[in-house]
Amino acid sequence: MAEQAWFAELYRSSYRRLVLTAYAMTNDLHAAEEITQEAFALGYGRQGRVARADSPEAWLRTVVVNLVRRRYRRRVLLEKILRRQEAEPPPPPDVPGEHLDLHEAIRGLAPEFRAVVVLYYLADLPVDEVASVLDVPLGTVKSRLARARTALADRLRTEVDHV
Amino acid sequence: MSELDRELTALRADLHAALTPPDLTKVAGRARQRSVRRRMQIGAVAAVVVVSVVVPALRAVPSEPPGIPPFPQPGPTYQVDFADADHGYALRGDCEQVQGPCRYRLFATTDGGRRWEERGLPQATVDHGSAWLIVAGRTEITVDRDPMMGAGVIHADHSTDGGRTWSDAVPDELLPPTPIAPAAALASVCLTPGYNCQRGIGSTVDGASAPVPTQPPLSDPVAGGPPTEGGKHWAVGLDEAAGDWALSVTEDGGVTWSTSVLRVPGVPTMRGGWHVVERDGVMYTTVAGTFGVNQQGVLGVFRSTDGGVSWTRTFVGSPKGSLSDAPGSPVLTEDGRLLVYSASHGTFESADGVTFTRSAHQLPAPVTWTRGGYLVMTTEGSYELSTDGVTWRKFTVR
Repeated sequence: MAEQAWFAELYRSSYRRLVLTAYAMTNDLHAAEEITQEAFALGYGRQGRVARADSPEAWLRTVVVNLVRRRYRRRVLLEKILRRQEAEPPPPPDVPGEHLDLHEAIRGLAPEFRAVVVLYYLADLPVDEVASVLDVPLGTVKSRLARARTALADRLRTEVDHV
Repeated sequence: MSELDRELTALRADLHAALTPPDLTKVAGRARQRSVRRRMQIGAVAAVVVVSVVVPALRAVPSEPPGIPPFPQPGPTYQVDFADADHGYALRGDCEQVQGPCRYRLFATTDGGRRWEERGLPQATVDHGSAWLIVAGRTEITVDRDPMMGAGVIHADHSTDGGRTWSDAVPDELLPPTPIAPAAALASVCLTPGYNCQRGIGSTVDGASAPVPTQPPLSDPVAGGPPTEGGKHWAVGLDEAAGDWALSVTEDGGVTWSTSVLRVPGVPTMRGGWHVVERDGVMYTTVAGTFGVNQQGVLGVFRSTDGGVSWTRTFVGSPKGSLSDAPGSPVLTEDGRLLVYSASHGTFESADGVTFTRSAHQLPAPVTWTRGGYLVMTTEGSYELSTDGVTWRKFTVR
């Protein structure tokens, strides 16, 4: 196992950021963990490719995004087959801590705003990588972040006022 | 820090604490299961079933169900690299669908990017993945196709005549140790194959991987890419004896290395965070990374006047300093100024690497050092190239 020390370090250091990247796109923490583990399994079987990549974490992030999109496409397909009119809501998050109000407020944002908040503030990605993951210009990320912050601050203030 | 920022920081800590990676052996087991499944070709059987069941259903239901947010449609991406001041290549990827094949087109220039000519690719589409362009020399290039979701041997297209004719190559194939050609780029390679990849330093030769004759004395080394203007190759990693980040420089293609520990605050970004530039015998290294949550920037700047044998730290970064939020891609100009681009604060310059002031020349985006000079992408497909760091020439790939 000594030869794989670099992969173990990559796994340890990147796992949480990649889970939160998937979470930003799925709004489902359990699914995000499952997708991230699948991405690492793919990477583990292709260590030569990961080792040669300019950024192994960026390679894994691309796999995560592809897996999320594949899952999304399958879900669309499944719902077409089942002729369902409404998508099933994601299960509630299983996150301990004292910040559930904020977490719920983030989950309540529109998808494009939720994604930038989760990627930037929770997954700790720089804005250029957020832009890369979402495939939008840098300026769009910055403006969405600003608007999302305003919305979160308003929502939290409203909740405090109502207590 | 605002109340919202404090809450976000605390929520981030909660989430990170709640996410515990399962043991890596479980990931390894999953990888092996995938491999077995592939061999059993369950996918082929499933495809037949899916096609026979799903196609009639799709015909019956034309509308999209509500409730699932659409993904943005990806646009074209470009990868541009030069072998020297004249010879360059550009790989354009068109991924019009969020899922499915990306179409790739290759362009070549022999006049520094003024004119581009399209060259044919033997396999122009990649399913669920991407392709990388490796410029090994003026006429030697490899297009490394990565299906990402697939399995088995990865293949690449290799050309020794600038993309006019092609042969099949296997990037994972390990060749005997070979000194890096003076103009070739340094790359990461696997010194041991399969599930036990020991990462090392080498170069791409004939589309395969060739380690250097002597590995730098670094744990888990990361290759520095193209040589500096003075022809030096470099790699970074952990100096196991010192337990700190170190830079190794070679002038003889990887036969001998000079290694120096470079201490910085924070955590350096090992891939893409280190940059080494050289002009007229003066070398600078900038190290970018993170100071803490959402606090990226240049952690340190080092200067060498003896060919990278010894380094002096000239600048120590701080979260609120002038080079915070800078990716650390430096430009060393013909008149000796060191330019560093920051997305938030603009471009800063220094005559000695010690003090930085806002530069009169504002770079439009992060800069990449290539063997043809400094390259900056202004918009998709549009670039500026500079050999002296002072005058910049625009060009568009088409």
